[in-house]
Amino acid sequence: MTDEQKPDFADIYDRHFARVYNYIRWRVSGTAAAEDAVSRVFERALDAWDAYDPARAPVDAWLFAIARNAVLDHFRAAGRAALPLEAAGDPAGGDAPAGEALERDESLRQLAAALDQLGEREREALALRFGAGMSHGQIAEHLGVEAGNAAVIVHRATARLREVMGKGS
Amino acid sequence: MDDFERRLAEADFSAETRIKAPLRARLTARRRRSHAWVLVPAFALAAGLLLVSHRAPEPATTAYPRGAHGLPVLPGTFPAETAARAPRLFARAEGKVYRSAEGSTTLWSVDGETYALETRRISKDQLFETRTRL
Repeated sequence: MTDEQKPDFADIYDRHFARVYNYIRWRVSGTAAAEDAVSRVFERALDAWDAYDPARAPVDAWLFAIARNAVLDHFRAAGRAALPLEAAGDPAGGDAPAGEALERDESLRQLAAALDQLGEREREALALRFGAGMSHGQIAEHLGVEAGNAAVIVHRATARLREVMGKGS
Repeated sequence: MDDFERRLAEADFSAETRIKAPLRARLTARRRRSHAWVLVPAFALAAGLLLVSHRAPEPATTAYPRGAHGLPVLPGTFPAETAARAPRLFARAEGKVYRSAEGSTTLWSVDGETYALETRRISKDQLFETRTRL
């Protein structure tokens, strides 16, 4: 792919922002921490954009590799044990949503609280599967395991999350 | 994928954040700035090259026509051996025009150049007269 065929960075941002944010939010506790990490992801991506070669890797794989490193940097900087539980977060911002939005936000709050009780490996597998919407094959590439193993890891993590959320509800 | 997994897949945390638009604006501005900085040295280089090319001196040219072996032919000179080789030179030169004048002066032409060869013996008085005329 030539430079003429390379998409504009703004298009990449618009197309992938939600997936990147969701992936990070599944892994990181708290809206503010997720926003910081997402900002870092796209700033790093922008810095590396001119050097990025679409022939070597699809843009989403490239972007999620950056996101994964940004999350690791976040954990290193903050210290996993010092991270706040989601109960202290502000998932809906300042405005008070109503009706369906309230229910949706409450579900997200419960989900975020449940994620905080999972191990890092489980949380990463779920983030790749449900936050980034990846297939088992893509998850396997990110985790450096066989596709079959990736499916097992995701299945176990999902079962664990189901168990935690069942206890909470 | 069961119902629980479907709900997980539909969970969209991105609605909770308001940084999407401001972050996009910040990144766009940053990209514009970085492109501008890339262009500055390119413009400076182009301007420098333009300036140098306008001030560069003309390359030196050879004022003399090139002769054998690339050596310049100095005007008004004549090889010292030509007098001795004159008969052979006459015989070889194409388009030569020569004649023997009355007395001892010979005129000839080689390659469009006309030369006079003084072979007449003159007395000191005649030489003196000549210098006086000069």
